[in-house]
Formats: sequence, structure tokens, C-alpha cells
Amino acid sequence: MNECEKLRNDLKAYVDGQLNPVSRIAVRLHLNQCASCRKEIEEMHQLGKQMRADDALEMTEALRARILAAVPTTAPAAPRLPKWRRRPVLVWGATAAAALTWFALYPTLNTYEPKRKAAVQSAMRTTEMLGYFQDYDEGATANMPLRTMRGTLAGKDTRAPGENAIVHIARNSISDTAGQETTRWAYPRTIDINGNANATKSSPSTKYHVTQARTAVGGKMIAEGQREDRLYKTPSENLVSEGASNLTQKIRPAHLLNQRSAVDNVTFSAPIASPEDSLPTERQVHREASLTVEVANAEQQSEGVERLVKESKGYVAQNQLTTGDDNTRSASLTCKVPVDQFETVMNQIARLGALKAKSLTGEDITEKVSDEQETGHVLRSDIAITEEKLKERRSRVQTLRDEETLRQLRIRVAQSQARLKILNRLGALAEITVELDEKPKAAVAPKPVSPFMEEISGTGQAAAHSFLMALRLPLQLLVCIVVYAPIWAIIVIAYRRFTR
Amino acid sequence: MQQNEMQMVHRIRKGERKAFAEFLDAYGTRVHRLVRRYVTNPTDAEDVTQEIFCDLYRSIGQFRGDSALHTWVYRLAVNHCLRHCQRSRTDSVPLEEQEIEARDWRSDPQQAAAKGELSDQVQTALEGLAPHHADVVMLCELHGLTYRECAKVLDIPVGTVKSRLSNAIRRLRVSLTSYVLGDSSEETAPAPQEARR
Repeated sequence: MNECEKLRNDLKAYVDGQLNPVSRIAVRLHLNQCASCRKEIEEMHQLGKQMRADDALEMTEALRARILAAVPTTAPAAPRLPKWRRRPVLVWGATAAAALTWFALYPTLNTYEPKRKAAVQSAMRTTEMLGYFQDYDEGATANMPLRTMRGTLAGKDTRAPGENAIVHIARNSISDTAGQETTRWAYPRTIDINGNANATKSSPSTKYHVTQARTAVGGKMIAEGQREDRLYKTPSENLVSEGASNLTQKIRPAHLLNQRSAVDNVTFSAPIASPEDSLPTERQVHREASLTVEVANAEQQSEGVERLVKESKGYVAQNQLTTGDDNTRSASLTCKVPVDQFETVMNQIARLGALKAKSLTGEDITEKVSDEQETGHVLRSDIAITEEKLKERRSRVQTLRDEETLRQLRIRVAQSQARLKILNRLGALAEITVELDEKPKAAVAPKPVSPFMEEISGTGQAAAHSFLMALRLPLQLLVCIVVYAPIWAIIVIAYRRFTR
Repeated sequence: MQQNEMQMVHRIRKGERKAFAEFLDAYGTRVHRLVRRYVTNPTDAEDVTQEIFCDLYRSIGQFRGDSALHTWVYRLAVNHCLRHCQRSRTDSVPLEEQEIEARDWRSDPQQAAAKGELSDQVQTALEGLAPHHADVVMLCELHGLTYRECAKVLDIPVGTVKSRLSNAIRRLRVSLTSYVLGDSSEETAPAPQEARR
């Protein structure tokens, strides 16, 4: 497309003065070069002029009078504005009120969302349970994580202490003893469950571990042990989580009421102990302190600290004596003292000199200790179960497997005991870190200097500095000459030879 | 928009006859000329002009001042003209009657003096154009509306106005060469006009 074609539509607009500045310049530049476009523009101009000149028609007086007579004598209708413009306050006010009302009533009106969430959760629970039962059918080891089973029941336990808790699991629903249906789930009808389980409490929080159970599928006992126990664990655990913190250390999921055809009632029985049973009697706190004391003689006082610690039946784990640049010495000691002597020893150390810094920390390890104890109990129960299995089993493969399980359990028990021992020691012994610093010796006063000498010295220094600064440039030049000698020397030699 | 135009509108809204007479004087000729381009029959043209001004009077309350007053007037006038053209196409008049009316119009000595042969040729050439081209030529070329105003009146983009006008003028050049451009070769090349209004 040539330039004329590109600017074809712009020519008329150029004549009419309707182009933007950039396009106008472009057209003008093109017109300087293109005679045909110039001619076209001339013709357009002439045509427009003639056409406008031709149109000389005027409205006649008769027509004017006729129009004036035809127009109604009344004033024209007032402009019809939309409602929101006519009454803006009313309309906007009503809109705002409606919006506010909606937001205020939204939580009440919107019941759909919680229902939907409940449905989703129910579906998820169902999936988990089905997966769990499928594991049984396949005879695989059920490694259902405990946390996925948690929260599947929401029954409230309102029993008095000492009563048995009974949770019925029907085919499609679970209800507590009050008959209140709590949730629904589906699982294969061909599974019959029978078993016993002992649950022990692991910590004051709410966790229960079922340690013993037996399960039968289709009326036939298929397995027993931990993996079956977890089946019972979920209801009990969730019962607990709903506010029965006074639940007991033992849960006895009882028995299957009916056989395969009638199906699927499992009763859990859980005697409740008094709340005090489940609460810890004493808190175990590991304490640490850090002291910084300024003393006259660090060595002597560090010995004093050692003596104090020994008297309190503790021991010094570390004692370090260092001497600084100014001949001041400092001692750093790490002491372990019995918890009941902690405050006494700390106060006595603080009195050895001037206390400069002190910090105290404490860590509650009661729960850790409790967890470790319960872990040990559970593992020992498992060991007992496995040992019983070893006595009953006849298959060599099963025997080997149980022996391996037993070995692993014993290792875990030993580890748990070691951890418990460390925790107990931590709780029994407190740690005190002591820093003993000697007072700094008085510094030697400098010899007085006369102002005249001081001035002379300053002047001399300034003069030397300025001299060196002045010398810097020639020195740099000299260095450059020396460094570039290989180049300029060759040039000089060549020049001399050439000019010779 | 000019202040006095808005004042005039307010006065008309109040029902002031004098203000409407001023309005009629300001736009009467322009509107009538426009109508005459669409409606060849002078009697019909006068009727349509009267209709337009009655409608303008009735609906002047709806004029919000968002655009220029003459743009609004032209828009309403063009709509009336187009409706009239549509009506007249459906209620077709016998050919003989049209010719008689046309002859009557041309045989009027006063009108004939005002209009020469060139006028007839321009009208004929305009009638030969496609309707959308003729609209643009009438508004921009004969009534001096800017491209933007024309775009508003016809409810089309400004670029479309530009291209339609360019094409229409080319066609008119072809059809009116002998009448308009025949004796104007001595005219010099024009400088671009100042933007209209």
C-alpha cells in the first residue's frame, strides 16, 4: 500500500481541519511530494465550497408562524429523572439499610453452609472407615494413622463419675447412651466385630491408647492385637474429646451383640474414674539460673562456690578460670544442684560479691514425663500380648514375625526408659551458671604534659603529614617510571638507534 | 455549551414563548435545510420541520446539557427525517404525483431563482449516494458539524464518519466534476480549515 492509499481517508479531514496534529503534519509532508493528492485536495475544497454556497434556502415567515402556532401554549414537561436521582437520599438510604440487614441476618439465614460442611466431613469419615475395613479384608497390616480417626464422634459424655460409658455403633449410626445420634457412617455389613480392649491414658490431655483387642470378621476371628484395637479407639477417643476429660484409664469395648445377619452392634463400656485420678499430682519443672557476680578474688570465690554446691549435695560440672589483659581474672562455673536446694544455693552465691546480672528460666516437663511413662506402659502391654501370641502360634512364619515384633518392642521400651531417666534427672537437678568477675584494677594516671610541648608535638606532626602528602605525587611518578621501564626503555633505545 | 443557550433552554422549559421564538430563529433555517435534503416535497418538508420543532419543544425537558444544543437538535431532526423517509417508502406515492409535485416545486419562480441547475445536480448527486454516506455529507459538509458532533448525531464512531465522508466526497467528485470543478482550475491549494466550532 503506497502513501496515497494510506492517507486516503485523511485528505478530506485535512481539508476540514479535523485531523490531529501528528496526522496533519504527515499529510502536509505527503502533499509536498504528491501532486495527485494536492489536486484531489483542491477539488475537495472546491466541491465543499460550492455545495455550501448552493444551500441558500431560508425558513419562510409563513413556516415560522405556523410552527409557533403549532407549539403548545403550556410549558413543556419537566425533565423526568430516574428515581435514584429524584430521591437520592431515600433510594440510597433504603439500599444501605437493606445491605446492613442482609449482613446482620446472614449468619442466621445461611444454614446451608454448615450443613454442607457437615456432609463433607461425614463423607470423609465414611471414606476413612471404609478404607480401614478394607485393610482388614485384605489381611494387610492396618496402618491407619490415629489422627485420621480422631474427631469422628461428637457425642457428649454426661455421665457421673463411676458410671460406665456405653457407645453403640449401629450399622449406620453412632449414638451415645443418651440415645442422641451423633453421626452416620457406612461400612460393610459383612463385618462382625468382637473384642476386648484396654485403653490407658497417656497424658492429662485426652489421649487414649487401646492396647488389647480381638476382632472377628464374618464371625471368624481373624486377628487380635493392636491393629484391631484401633477400631475401638476412635469412638472412645472422640467421646473423650467431647468433654469427658474425667474418662478412665480403661475402656472395655465389650462384645458383638448379634451375629453376621443381625449385624453390627458394638458396645463399648468405659468405667469412669474420678477426675483426680487423671490429673497429675506434682509438676516437674526443670530450672536454670545464670548469675554474674563481681568479686575481689575470683579464684578464692570459685572455691567457695564449689564448697557451697557440695554441701547442697550437688556437683560442679565445669569450672574455668581465665586471666584478662588487665590482669583481672574471671571464673565460669556450671553447677548442678538438687531442685529443693536451688533457691538456697543461688542466694548464697549472690552474696559472695556484688550481683551484676541474674536470669532464671523454668521448663515444665511433667507432660513429657507422663507421656514417656505411658509409652512405656503401652509398650510393655504390647510385649505381654506378643509373648502370649508366641506361646499360642504354631506357624513358623508367624512365630518369626512375632519374635521380630517383640525385639522391636523391647528396643523401644529401653529407649523410652532412657528418655524417662533423662527427664527425671532433668527435673531433679537444677542448673546454675555462675560468672565470677574480679573488679578492674585502677588504671595508672598518665604523666602530665605541658601545653607548649603538646603544641610543638602537634605542629611537628602536621608538618610531617603535609611533607609526606607533598612527597606522594613524585613518589607515585617514580613508581610509574620504574614499573613502565621495560616499555619506555625499548622505545628510547629504538629511537637512539634510528636517529644515529 | 454556551451559557446563553442553556439559559434559553431554561426559559423554554418555563414556558416562555419568546425564548422558543429565539430558538426557532436560531435553528429553524438549519433544521429546515436539513429536512429539505431528506424530503424533496416542500410541503412535506414544512410538515416535518413543524413536527420536529413541536417534538423539540415537548422533549426539551430531557435535554441535560451533556452535549451541545445543536448536536441534540440535529440528532432529533435526523431521526425525524429518517422516520419520515421510512414512512414514505412504505406509503409509496404514485410516480406521476411525485413528478407533478416536483415540477410544482421547481416551477416556483422565487425558489427557482434561489436554486439553479447546480443545486439540482447536488441534490441528485446526494440522492445517488448510499443513505449512510448522504447523512454524513449533509451533516458535515452542508451543515458544518464537526466529525465528533456528526458521530454523536448518527451514533457512530468518529473514524467511521471520517471514512464515510471521504468515500462520499470521492463519489460526489465523480458525479459533479463537470458542474463544480470545471471552472475552478485557477483556485489555489487550500490550507486546512480551522476546526469547525
